Amino acid sequence: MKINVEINGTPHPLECAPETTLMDALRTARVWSVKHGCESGDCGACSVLLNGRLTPTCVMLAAQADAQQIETVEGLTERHEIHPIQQAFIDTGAIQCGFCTPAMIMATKELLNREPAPREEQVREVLGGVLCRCTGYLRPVQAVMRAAAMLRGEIVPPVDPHGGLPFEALFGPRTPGETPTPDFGNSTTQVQTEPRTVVLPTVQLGSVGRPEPKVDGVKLAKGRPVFADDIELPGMLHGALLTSPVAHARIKRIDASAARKLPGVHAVLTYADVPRVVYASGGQSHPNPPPYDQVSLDSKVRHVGDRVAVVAAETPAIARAALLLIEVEYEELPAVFDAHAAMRPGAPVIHDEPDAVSITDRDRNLAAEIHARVGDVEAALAAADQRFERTYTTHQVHQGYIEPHIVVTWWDDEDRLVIRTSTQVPFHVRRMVAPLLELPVKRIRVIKPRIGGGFGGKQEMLIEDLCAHLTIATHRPVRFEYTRAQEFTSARSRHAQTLTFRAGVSQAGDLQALDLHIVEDTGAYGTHGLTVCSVSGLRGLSTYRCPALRFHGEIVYTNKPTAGAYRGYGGPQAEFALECLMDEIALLTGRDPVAFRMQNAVRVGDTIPITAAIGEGEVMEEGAGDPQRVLTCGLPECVSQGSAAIAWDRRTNANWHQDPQRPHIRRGLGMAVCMHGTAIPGLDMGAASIKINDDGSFNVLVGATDLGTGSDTVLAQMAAETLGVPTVDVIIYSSDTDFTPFDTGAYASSTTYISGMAVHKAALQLRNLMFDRAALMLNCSADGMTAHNSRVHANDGRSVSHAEIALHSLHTQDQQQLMATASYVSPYSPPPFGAQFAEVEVDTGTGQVTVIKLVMAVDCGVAINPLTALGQIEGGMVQALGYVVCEEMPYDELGRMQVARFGDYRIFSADEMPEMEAILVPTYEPTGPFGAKAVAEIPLDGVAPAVANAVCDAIGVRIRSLPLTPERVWQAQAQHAVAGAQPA
Amino acid sequence: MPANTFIYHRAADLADAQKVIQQQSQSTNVLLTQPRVPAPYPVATGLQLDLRNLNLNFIRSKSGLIEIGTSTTLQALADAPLLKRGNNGIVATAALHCTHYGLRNLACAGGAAIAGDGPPDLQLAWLILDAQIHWDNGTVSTIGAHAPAGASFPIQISYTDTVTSAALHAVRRTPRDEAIVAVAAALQTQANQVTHARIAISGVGNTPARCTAAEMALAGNALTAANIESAAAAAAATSGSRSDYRGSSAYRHAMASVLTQRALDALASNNHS
Repeated sequence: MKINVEINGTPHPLECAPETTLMDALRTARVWSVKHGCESGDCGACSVLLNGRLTPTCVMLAAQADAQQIETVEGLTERHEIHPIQQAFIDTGAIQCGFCTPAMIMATKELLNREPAPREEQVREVLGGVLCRCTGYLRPVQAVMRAAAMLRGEIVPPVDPHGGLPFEALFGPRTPGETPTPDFGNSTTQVQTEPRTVVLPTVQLGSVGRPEPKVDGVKLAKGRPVFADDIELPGMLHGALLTSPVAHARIKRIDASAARKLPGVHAVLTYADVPRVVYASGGQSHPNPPPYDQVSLDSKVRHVGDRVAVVAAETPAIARAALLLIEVEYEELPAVFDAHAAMRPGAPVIHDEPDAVSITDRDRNLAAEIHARVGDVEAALAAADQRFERTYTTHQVHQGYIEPHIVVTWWDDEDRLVIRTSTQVPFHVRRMVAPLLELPVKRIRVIKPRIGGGFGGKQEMLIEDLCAHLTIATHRPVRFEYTRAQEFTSARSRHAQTLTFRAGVSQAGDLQALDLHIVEDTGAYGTHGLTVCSVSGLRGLSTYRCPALRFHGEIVYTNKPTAGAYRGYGGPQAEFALECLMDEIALLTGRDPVAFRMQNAVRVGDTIPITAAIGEGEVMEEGAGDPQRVLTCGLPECVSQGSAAIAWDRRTNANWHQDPQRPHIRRGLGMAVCMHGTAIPGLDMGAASIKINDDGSFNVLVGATDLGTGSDTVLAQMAAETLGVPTVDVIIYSSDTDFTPFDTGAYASSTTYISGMAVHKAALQLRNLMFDRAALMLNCSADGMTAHNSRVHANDGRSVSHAEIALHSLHTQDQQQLMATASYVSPYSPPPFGAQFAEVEVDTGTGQVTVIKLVMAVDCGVAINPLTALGQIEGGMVQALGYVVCEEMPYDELGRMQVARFGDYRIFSADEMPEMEAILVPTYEPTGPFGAKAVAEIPLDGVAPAVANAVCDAIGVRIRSLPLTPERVWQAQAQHAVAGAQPA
Repeated sequence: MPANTFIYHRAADLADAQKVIQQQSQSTNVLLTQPRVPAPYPVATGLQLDLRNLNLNFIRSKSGLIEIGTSTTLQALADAPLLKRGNNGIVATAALHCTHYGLRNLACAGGAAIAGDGPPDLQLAWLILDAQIHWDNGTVSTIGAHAPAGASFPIQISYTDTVTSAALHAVRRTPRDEAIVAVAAALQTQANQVTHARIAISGVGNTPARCTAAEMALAGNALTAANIESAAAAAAATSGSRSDYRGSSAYRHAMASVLTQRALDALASNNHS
């Protein structure tokens, strides 16, 4: 049928099928800013202004828009202009991955059209129509207020009103570009406490330490076609996946003949049609950690949502219709959904296939097992004055990225397979997919465009193999995207764990022993199970000084959808248990919870012995197996500043805990300290290539993967800082296996630290080449030269511009391309530290927990870009907030997921947020580029225990299972009342 | 027409809509977006009937009756001064709670009135206002009742603007989440005697419903703490066995009591002040 719509003021005829949604019709018309995030109107990423009103387009037919007016972000400005709303979103750091940004901008436009001076409540209401998983909404709200002021003609203040503090004032004089050498014997930590958000100006030009706008901000604000799905190829087919409706079964018979005969279907692939190559899907370095327990398509299914068959067809609708024509006869097998039950004798064996490799004990469904020990725990426990044993349970949650997994594959002119995919690990994908496709690596190119959020969920070779198989089978480009429901049933999630701590404490309050046993539910496949559990061991046994440590981790298969990587990677589970345990011990021994923690917390100069025992010890400079050492620690300042921001002293005021106007409400405060890692020592590798252009600008090529965090921006800032140019003179291109150097990818909080150091090293090498060239041009020595203000300055006061150097080297004399490549692997994994605080209200009648305020103070070393660093903390806290109060992946008795859409899987929206405050406490990490440590994952660690501890403070009931849903809290109160008021 | 064919039709007027439905051999899906949209969209095949040209987008007061056209968006309900003023503003408040801002601009009164699941707030508000659904064939039904014989789609919702004291209480995982259990209550009193009581509960049974036992504990009696407790106890005994990951049946019954108590306490407090 033909409809006529007005798109951004221009009449636009659209030809579409009656069932076509407006979202699909607009994207087919190349209105790429309209994004697919769900099929139920819950996320709002597809929203446009329909007759001036913000409207999701995935839940209305295109035909309903006939003769209506549609406005999208493409209509805001001409190509080279930028609208004040877009500018405000860029200025304030309101854009992270940018996938929801066009919808947020249109929501803003609608609001400001009718309300030029909106209240924050109104702003939050309209932004409530668009889910954002990255930002925590704080900066988008600021962006709307700023845009409103700009549109009212007001002069808006700079984003960084404080102007920063001199670098030297914080850390003393230093040489530009110097890579500090760690001083193990006499390491000092310098901490600046005021102002809270410290902005460090650069030593020379002011790139590092400044709140520079994201280098990809403009294109994201304009909704340009920069995501994996924003491409149209001639002859492109559409993939669809048939998944298992049962939790455990053999496929007795599968008949795809009817599906293959359906007009428009080009391929139907089952296990009989693709090579059987065993692999592990986790996107990790070679050799991938075991077990190797997956194949592309199997004759057995192991969870509801497991792969059965895949189809390529002319349209998505035909592909979906073809799935319905595939006849599958299942021989159902007993299933097991509980990790403890799965290990018992007689439990169904989930991986009985003979070709699976490196499963620890398949009869017990034990995918892997970890043992680590420091000292004699049993002896230390026996000798301790007080002993405690507590068990905590954490649950499975989803990353909730708004952009689903999406892959487009095609053969290029050279008969090489191109994979354009939303991945965090393009180089791992290329290496891992090659054997599955029986292609050499050299015939595969993986391109990572912008990613609409990943949070670990895209640290996986998840659907690239299936899409590629379809292209190989059809010789056509194929586009394959998960539905939102498949994201819940067939993608990855955070591991559920049962964590049992035993602790011994001396009379003086010193920890004497910590023993941690974890049973981890990895679901149907092992993938990241082993490494996530090892990180849980690390995080659970690193934060506090303790002479005797023991860790036992059991990674167990069940017939549930597979868990995998999720931001924090085992840390949030362990920190929940550890920080609740510390609270419990403090309260039971009559100690102040903060003082007890700080008495035991690690500090500068301490070693972290468990790192060597679990395998993340330093491996280069201090010899293999030596433990990591803490060189910088701003934890005391984090606690101090966080305490002040949350008004911690209210905790001892009995009156404050109650509200006379609402007698069923109890107030509470809780806290947790957090310690994370920065990259995987000796393993994570980044590389960078930099070359100079005729005008003195630079191309920086990095394999690092910006998944919305702003890593491209901070890498550009570090290159600019080293080379003495403004950031706008650095053109960064990342994550294309044909053109950029290798990088392990975006995980383990590694990009700023590892890839950043690679960029810094390459920039230093290039700068030296530029000095040599300047010396040639000026006929002087290169000694003592500096680079700043886009010029190289000689000792005698003369200088040449970068552009003059480039022209000279490229065109004039002894011609050569000035360029450099460098790689970096670190033997260190310097821990960032944080103090998380939470204020809650608990409704004692219903059990409903309302988080009123979250404060997190973080020592991430020097924040290369305070704006993006703060955004990481704010967004991370909101993800963690969902983890503790509302997000969960429940199943029925047949193993069927009970939440298959946003809404049921509740993600916080802009109009229901607590007050949030993020505080940067800078330290100078000597092993990091410009003093940086990690910031990306630590915000996930502390919210759950801080909220749980606050709930305990409010109602005197200790709850050791997540999430703290109304019924769980209500039940806990009831049980507590029955049991009598035991000490919390 | 072959089975499972998807047809879109924009009715010119009411007669055209009824005619095309009658001629249809397949099922008809009237395009009245609900606050919880069935996923994945579109789920239905058959005739998709668009009522846009029927001019059913209105909110008006007529002879003491509030009339809301079936196509009126939830955001229009939330914004309407008439609804913010009338009946203690409970319909506007309920509309605001039904879904997020974008969907409120698409979901409509008719969709909310006949929804089989999803956010209960508007149905609860309309239940305590004794609202009626007027169907295309001239028949009338109450909220929650099956569509009358021969009726295809709702035309409007109407109710009186006479309630001066109404409250809506709910328990949710997050402040804007769909209610696990919600209770709406409306009272009219004279000299502290309850002359009219309406209490509706969602989350215990499969659909929101009036709790007449709780109403009877109040109607004709003084608005005392004891009578409120009796009403709350009656609410706990309301029929239904709904249970899911957000709340067990036992929890939901308990919350029906807690929230009924709170709603009535709030109304009593307003009454005394």
